[in-house]
Amino acid sequence: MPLGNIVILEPGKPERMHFRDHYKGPRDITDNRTGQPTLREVLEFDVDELNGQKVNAKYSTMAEKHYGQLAPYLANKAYLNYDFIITKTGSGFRTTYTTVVIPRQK
Amino acid sequence: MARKTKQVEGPFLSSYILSHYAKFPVLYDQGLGAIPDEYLRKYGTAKAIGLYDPTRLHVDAIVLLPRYFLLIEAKVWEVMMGLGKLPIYASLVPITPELKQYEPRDILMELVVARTNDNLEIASRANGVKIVLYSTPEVVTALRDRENYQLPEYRAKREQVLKTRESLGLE
Repeated sequence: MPLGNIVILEPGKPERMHFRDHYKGPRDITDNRTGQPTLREVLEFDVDELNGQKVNAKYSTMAEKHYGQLAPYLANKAYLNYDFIITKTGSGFRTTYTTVVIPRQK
Repeated sequence: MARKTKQVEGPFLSSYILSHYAKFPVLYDQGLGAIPDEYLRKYGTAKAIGLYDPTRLHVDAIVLLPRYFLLIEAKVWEVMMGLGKLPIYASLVPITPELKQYEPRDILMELVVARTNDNLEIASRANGVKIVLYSTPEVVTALRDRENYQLPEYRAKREQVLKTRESLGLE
């Protein structure tokens, strides 16, 4: 679901995205438990297609395991050649990201 | 990404897949097994899967080869455990609702490891699992660090690092 220009994953609802660019590094965020600002490592993608529609949005994650799934696709922007269908399930420490990676037709 | 320890197996897995199966669709961290009827009746298929998925087993990845589901488990540390999981995962594939759309396909199993041993090879053959040797620079470093962990030099260096962190107020 795009909220403004940010892709928010709803539990159990897959979102198909194509990424155009990415950023990896520290970012100031508000910790949703303490309400305090904190510095966290994020992986953020520029999304140019969401469920087949052209968009100009961001998808970001701080989940380490999810980052691990995506990390090798960052080299040489290999993600440009794929669509990613990401489904979030569970919550808190039991959050799981099931990621389907589909080569794009050239 | 905030932990002091590094995720090694996740990037190890997707690096292997990207280098060997880049042309095929891949399902990472796919939940396996049926969804109880009461969930399906009450919530409908999509929401029921979302709600029940955290209780299911998850395979590291499934590559959709033209005629096969290729189940892949990537293990750096407890390799025998990875081998033990794969036949269980395979038994759950036919009852997994998300995979129905890709059937019919036969099942292949691969265990991706950085190191192997005789027992692993024998047990994998007996269970129909192919062992694949693969490594990345990060895995090499992680294995070396683990091997060195009990050496006096490594422990002394680690103690020094911890003291420095404490003195800087990082602990």
